Amino acid sequence: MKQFLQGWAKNEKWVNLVLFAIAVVYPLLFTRAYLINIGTLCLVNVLVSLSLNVLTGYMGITGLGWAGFFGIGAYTAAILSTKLGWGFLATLLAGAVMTALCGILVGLPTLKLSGRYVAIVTMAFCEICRALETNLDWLTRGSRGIPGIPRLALFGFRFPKWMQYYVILALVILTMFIINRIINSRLGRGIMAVKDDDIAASAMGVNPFRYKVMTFAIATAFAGLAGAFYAHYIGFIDPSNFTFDQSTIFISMTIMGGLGNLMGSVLGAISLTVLPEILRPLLDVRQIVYGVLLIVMMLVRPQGILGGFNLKHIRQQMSVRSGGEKHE
Amino acid sequence: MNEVILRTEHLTQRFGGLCAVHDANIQIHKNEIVGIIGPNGAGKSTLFNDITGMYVPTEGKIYFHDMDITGKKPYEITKLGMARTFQNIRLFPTMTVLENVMLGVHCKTRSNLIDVVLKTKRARQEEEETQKIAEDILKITGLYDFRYNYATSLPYGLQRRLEFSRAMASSPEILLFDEPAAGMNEQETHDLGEFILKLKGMGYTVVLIEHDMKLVMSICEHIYVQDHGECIADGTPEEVKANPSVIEAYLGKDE
Amino acid sequence: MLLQQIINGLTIGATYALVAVGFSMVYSVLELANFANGAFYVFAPYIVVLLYASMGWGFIPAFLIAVLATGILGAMMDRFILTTIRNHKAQTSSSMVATLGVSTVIINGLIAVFGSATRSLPNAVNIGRIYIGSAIMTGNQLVIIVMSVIIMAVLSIIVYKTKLGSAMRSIAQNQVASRMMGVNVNRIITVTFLIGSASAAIAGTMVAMYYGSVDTTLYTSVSVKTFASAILGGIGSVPGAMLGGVIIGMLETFVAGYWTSAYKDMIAFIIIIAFLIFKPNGLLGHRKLNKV
Repeated sequence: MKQFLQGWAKNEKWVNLVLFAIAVVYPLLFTRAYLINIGTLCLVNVLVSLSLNVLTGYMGITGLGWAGFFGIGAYTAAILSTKLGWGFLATLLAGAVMTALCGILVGLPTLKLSGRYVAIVTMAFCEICRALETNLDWLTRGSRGIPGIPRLALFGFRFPKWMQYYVILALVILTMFIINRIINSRLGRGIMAVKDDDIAASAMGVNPFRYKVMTFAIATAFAGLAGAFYAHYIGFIDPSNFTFDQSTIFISMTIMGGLGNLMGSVLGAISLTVLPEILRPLLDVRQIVYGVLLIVMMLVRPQGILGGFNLKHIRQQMSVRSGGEKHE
Repeated sequence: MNEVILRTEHLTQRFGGLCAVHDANIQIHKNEIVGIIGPNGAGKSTLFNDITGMYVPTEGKIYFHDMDITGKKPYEITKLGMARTFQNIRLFPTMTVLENVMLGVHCKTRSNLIDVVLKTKRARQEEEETQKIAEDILKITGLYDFRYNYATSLPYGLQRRLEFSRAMASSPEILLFDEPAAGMNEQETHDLGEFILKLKGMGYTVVLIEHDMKLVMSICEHIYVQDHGECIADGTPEEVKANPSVIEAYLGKDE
Repeated sequence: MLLQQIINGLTIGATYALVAVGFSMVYSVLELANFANGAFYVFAPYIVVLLYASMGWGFIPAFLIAVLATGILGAMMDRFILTTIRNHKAQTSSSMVATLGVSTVIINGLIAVFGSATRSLPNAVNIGRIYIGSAIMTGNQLVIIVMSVIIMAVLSIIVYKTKLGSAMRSIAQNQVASRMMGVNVNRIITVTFLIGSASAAIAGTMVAMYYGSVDTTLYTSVSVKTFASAILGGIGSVPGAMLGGVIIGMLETFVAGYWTSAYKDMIAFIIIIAFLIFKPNGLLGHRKLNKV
């Protein structure tokens, strides 16, 4: 394992390139609509899982009601495009901004609380969202849902499925790029310091509350972005897409992939999206097997598949050792 | 004597019925090493917590360079130029030694979200400077070789040193050390004394809470003695040693 | 009308309270949100359906077996899954995912065995009804309220008056210190799970009886509402969880009765958030000192 990680750390750029190449080639190799659909849904979930990892992995707050934020993005995009005829670039942006605003609205009064309470707040918020989605009939059409959300299109040209796949792929890569930049900056250090010990962070000049609100806003923005894309892609949304059960799937992906590791989110999201598909022939037993796998995974690697690994740190430690310095 | 840079006026801290600090009037002069001593539960750490903004004092005022800092938040006070360490070491375990110290520089840098995402010139420059400052400090404190290790993987003594390094990184005027020699052996304590004197030589002002009398008496220029929340004596080490109430309240207890 | 609403609210609140007590006990010792609790809540009535309605057992033995089985299931979940995860020194969020897994297995196991259609549970408690003015209290409601009060009294005695209870409370405050003082931490936690899941089982069975039916979709809303009750009352406080459960139950009954049932769930959640903001330790919880 150690050697594997060191090898990975050393060749991280190449590994990323290969993974990127696989992601690009995928729809060319697997042209069946079903497989492209699975690939696209994987990437939507990757985006959600990345956003949740920012909050849960880097900030240390377990986001229990993530489907709520995902749903805000989806509904924002759906309403703006069906009622006001906005184009998808505008609705994606609006979905992200709207969700971030809601995130800030939820975060401002509650982020002074300890993390475990914030987890419950997000859960309650998810249920409140669903109640509103179900009951604000004039806006959301209630439980009948919003049908006919226009597919991604530019200048009247409607994107075929495979092009939508590349759109979400681009969004995922953009998101990873941005999160990576933030994590490896003074802001990222501030975020991790607050997670590790908010009192010490505060004593070192970091305002924990401000960092929590900022992180919450960033995380919710990406969740909203994913939701907005999802609405356009799937074409029909109703409140049952954004339940607490969906939230638990999101958090399972993130934790199983590994907290504080972006590749972990990719892995967690893809495996928990593909797994139910693979298990489909098992019919009734499928969900049971899924649950058992979740348990087994937590028994074998409770910190998640890639949890606790920091390739940058591994690389740095290797550089010192190969540099001839003898300290352990 | 240099100017007074930190002073408290009638500082009082109550927790419910308990009066942890009562009417503390402390003056810290620039580039001075000041010791605060007293038996356990005398209110020394509470005093520190009040000064650094961890607690809001019940009564009284705290002035830093004649600026009223009473009730300011810890991160605001750190930015003004005061940094502390903790009695029970508080490092950031998922960060490396270098990153811990780089975090100390945090309050001196300004890059915002847009800067770091776009990697603007400001962000790049600040990041380089931060790393340089942190590495320089690690070289001074002798932790440079451990810079890529995780903070809490260091042995206890080095963790303390890392906490000093982190505090120094915020380039403060005053360093407040809460029991820096706790858990150290005689040799380590001696080295610590040397280190604190070196800090003085570099222009820092150092305030320390300490139980190790030998250390306090040998390096401090001014000592405050706390007992049951009251300041019962202050003065030079010689004056304090000779003070009968100190002997009774503190040294006498130890026999 | 008002009196009737109070009776209905009290009934449903009493069952929330019962689940919330167990949930709150687990949460206070481990800081773990046990999502399997909702699954235990539906697991027990299915066992009763199997034994009582299908196999023709007497109601009381069926009920006892169901509660016992659920309690053991909870204890086993802790013993074989959560203890292992704890020994890895992993974050509690990993344990939380494991409880999600357990609840997925239980719920879908029930669907696989019993089908996803609603199953009816014939009313076993036929003791007529009581007229209080214009309001009616059915025998079921009376049984639920009385049972809940008795069980919660027993749980209070366990938590506050027995050695087991003091061990639980000491673990809640400081696990390491408790271990050093000779408390068998893992065993006490397992017992806490046993009690917690057994009380969820009792509540679940009584509610199934009250509505005359049981189905698997109940578990999410119950999970969320027990969360709410426990927070409202103050985590770790047995009387607090009872109070929280009753308030949530009353509230949703009143909102549904006097305004609209569409928002009955939402009001409960707004109250939780409001409580967390203004009184984060709940109604009867203890303040935890934030020590530097």
